[in-house]
Amino acid sequence: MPDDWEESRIQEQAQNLLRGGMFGSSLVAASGRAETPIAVQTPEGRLHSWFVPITVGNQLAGYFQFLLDLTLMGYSSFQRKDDSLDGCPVAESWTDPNTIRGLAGTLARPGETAGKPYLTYDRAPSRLAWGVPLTSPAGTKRTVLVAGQAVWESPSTDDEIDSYGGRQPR
Amino acid sequence: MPLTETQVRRLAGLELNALHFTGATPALLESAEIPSGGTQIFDTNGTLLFHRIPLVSGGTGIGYADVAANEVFGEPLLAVSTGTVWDEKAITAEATAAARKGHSPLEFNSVRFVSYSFPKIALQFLQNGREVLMLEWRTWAEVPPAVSGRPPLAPSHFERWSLIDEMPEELQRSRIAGFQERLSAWGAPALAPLSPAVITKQTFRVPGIVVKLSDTRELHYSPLQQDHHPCYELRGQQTNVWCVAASTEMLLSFYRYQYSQPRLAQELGLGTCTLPNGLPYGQEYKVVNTIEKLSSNTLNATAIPNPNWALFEAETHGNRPLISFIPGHSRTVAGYTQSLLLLPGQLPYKGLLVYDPWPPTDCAHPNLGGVITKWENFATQTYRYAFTAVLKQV
Repeated sequence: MPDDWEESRIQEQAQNLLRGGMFGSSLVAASGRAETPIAVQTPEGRLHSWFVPITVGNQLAGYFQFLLDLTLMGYSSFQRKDDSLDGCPVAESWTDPNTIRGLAGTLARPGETAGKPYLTYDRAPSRLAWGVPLTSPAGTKRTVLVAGQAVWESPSTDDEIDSYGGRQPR
Repeated sequence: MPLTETQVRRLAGLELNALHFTGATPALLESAEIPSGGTQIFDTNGTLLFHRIPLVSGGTGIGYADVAANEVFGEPLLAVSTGTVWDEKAITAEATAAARKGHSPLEFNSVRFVSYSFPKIALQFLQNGREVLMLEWRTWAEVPPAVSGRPPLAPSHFERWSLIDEMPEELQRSRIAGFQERLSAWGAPALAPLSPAVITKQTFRVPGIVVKLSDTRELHYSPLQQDHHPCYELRGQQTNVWCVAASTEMLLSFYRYQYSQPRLAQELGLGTCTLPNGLPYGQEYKVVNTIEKLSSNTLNATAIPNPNWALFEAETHGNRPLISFIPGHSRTVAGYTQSLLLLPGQLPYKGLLVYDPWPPTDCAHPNLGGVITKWENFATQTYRYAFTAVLKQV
């Protein structure tokens, strides 16, 4: 069962890797901060991995992703140039549930209410996105995915992966 | 065949010194000692899995390292943690108190440490070799019995399962081979004089020993690595389903073929900005056709199913990017790193430099979106297809 201690261990691991200099730019190695890990769930709701945001100020410079046994999947950077944070998203758009719920609201239909966001992925674990459940006044449920500023309706979890990118028009 | 404690201790010293030499460990590990072979941690099936070895500096505990005693891990060093002291006696005493308090009356005559859901630890109380209670380390919650029908190696919240029993035999075989290879490297005669009981960056600074830590290459403007800076650009996918179009755009851009992503999407049959779709499985040939057509057949493209590491390495050496298809997604690869001897389990032994068009942007903001993954652990990904593109020469 993930607990505060496990989260601190993951966070420490990320911070150590960052300071080691093998991952991330020198700017991030010197000034980046490993934030609290966020659990990544499979679309079916099982725990899959850990997302550790790396921030510089209020910007998200990149993130580590670890499997549950702490195997490092990789470090992904939003930086397009090593010495600049231009183009890096505001950290809140990837870490703050209220901000993410607000983004999901742009796709909500009249009367739909947004539930608690959870970090998941669309088709492949490297395609991280927040899932936000929407419920209509009649009780119908659907899920909207949010990745940065991009918002779209989630494919059904019983849809088999049959393409690179997404489903075919039906 | 599990390693002896002496072997484990030397192996721990070599691996920790190597990791420390790379600079990937906290500075406080400098001069830390490995005082013992540590605590044996068993699988739920009773097999010895690894040793949790305390790290001590100036007589004070500063952390611990997990070192495999079982070859199924594939690599010896499983984890290094600083800030949490490992004190086997104190933990056993605390667990015993918790067991007596919450589970009275309780009779047992031995206690051992078990990884009940790797890497999570519990203490198993035994009476004449038979379990009478298992408590999770720190929470002291009772670990429930194993359930049948679990998907092998599936992650769990609070479940008991055996790492060895659930690991497929084929995976075990390949990991054992990798582990033995590593042991063999550490057993080289040149390393025999090393005394790795103390962790210090001086350990490998010995005349006659040349340690090349890694082999790393990235794409450059030309194959002359020393003359040019890395030369490759990221493109975000302009809809949430256009990873293939974005990947094709990145590859063609490297060769200075500038096409807009909507134009490439049209060529690949991926719809429009307002009505987009992905590339169906089985239509991988469209990538080959598009690259060749839009380069006026200057590029010779090839689709390679189930690509292996050697392909990514060879193409990078040829200064050529690749498109990489994984289940449900497409990205490009523009470099690699691989440790030649020294990186332990928690670090990517072989990693790819991936220009990933995810997360998406939109057609109005083509310069946004995507991430550069440096490095993607090659062992944690499934590679379905790779697409190479080679310039034709006269």
